[in-house]
Amino acid sequence: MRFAAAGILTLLVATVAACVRPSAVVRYAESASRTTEEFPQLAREIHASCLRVEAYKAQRKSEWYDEVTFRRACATRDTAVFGLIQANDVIAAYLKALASIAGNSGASLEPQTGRFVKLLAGKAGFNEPQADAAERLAEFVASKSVEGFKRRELSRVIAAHNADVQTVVSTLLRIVTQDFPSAFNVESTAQDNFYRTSLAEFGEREPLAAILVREQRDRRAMELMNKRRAITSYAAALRRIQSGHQKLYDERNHLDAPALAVELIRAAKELDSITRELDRAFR
Amino acid sequence: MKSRRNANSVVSANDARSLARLYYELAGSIGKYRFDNWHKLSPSERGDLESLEWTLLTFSSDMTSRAIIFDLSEARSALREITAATKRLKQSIARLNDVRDVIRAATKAVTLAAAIFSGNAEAVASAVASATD
Repeated sequence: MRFAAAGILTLLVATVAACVRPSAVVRYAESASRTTEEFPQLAREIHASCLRVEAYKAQRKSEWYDEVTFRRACATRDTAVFGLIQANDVIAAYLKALASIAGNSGASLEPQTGRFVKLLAGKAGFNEPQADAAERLAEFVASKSVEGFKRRELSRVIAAHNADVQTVVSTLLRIVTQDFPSAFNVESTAQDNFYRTSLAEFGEREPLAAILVREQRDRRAMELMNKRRAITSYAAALRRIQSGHQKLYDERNHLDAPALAVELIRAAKELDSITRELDRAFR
Repeated sequence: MKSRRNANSVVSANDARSLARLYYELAGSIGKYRFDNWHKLSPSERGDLESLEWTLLTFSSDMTSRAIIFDLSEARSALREITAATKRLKQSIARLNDVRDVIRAATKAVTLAAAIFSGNAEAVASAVASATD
């Protein structure tokens, strides 16, 4: 009798586990998509950083300045950021599509025109093959067929798009880990130049004002440090998305494997935690 | 044959990244010199050095934007010379004592960066030659 109960229990656990497994893909893809939706705030900070550097420079030159002058000086950066956001949106939309297919829930996605994405990705440091990968993903997301995909076709979708996902995410990762910190390094030096020079020139004559200036400098340095942390967090998210999709590809013929479900849930929890960190960084 | 090249054909994204780093470090070297010698320098010398720092920092920032924007597979052999010349300028600034020499070296770095941005291969070659004098 006890053995029979244990057998029923085992069967029940296995059944529940089998139900959980497909939703692990949904959980992972939804979490990953939500994290990628945080990217525009981070990317816009790279443009804002350029504007702040221009402001420090103009203030030291003691010339009259306006926003238009700064915007003109940072126009190249603005274009690059816009292109990056579009390329990142393709990944966000693809992950959303993946979640819909895995959940049999029917996709409700904003269509993105492949050619438009390719053009903008090209403006964001993507070379020809990388921009082609972004274009193919955008076309897949935009295609009506996404709506018709069912869970059983999940492995085929993953297999068809893994290379493009890896390419686009790698390119974003390279830009986020190399160019974003460089932009903040420049801002940090501009900040030091501005405050240190001002304090060296006027600090002794106006000691009370110098205290306030130091406090302002500390606050701005802290803000910059939080933005650097956000870069590190987003890079970790991109790595998790990359490895998670690769794992899905490697296990595409065993998507119901318990070990895969455990790994995807762990990845989803990490991504949720990163999303919360990014939310806090830009609140 | 066109002598004037498009700016993005002079450097690839990775080249732009290396140059952005070098110009960032150059600006830092001049800043260090300015603050280390603050009381020995006249207001005008400080102003000249600071202006050069901002210019070099702007070049570094622009190179970073360029690295994001352009990714060309064709890397030009001139880059090796540009990098070597910029590194030499950075080393000499760290060694120099006379502010006029520092200003001269920093001005050469600015000329070199301007040549890179102009995309003019002849201007780049000339600025490299001047930087290695």
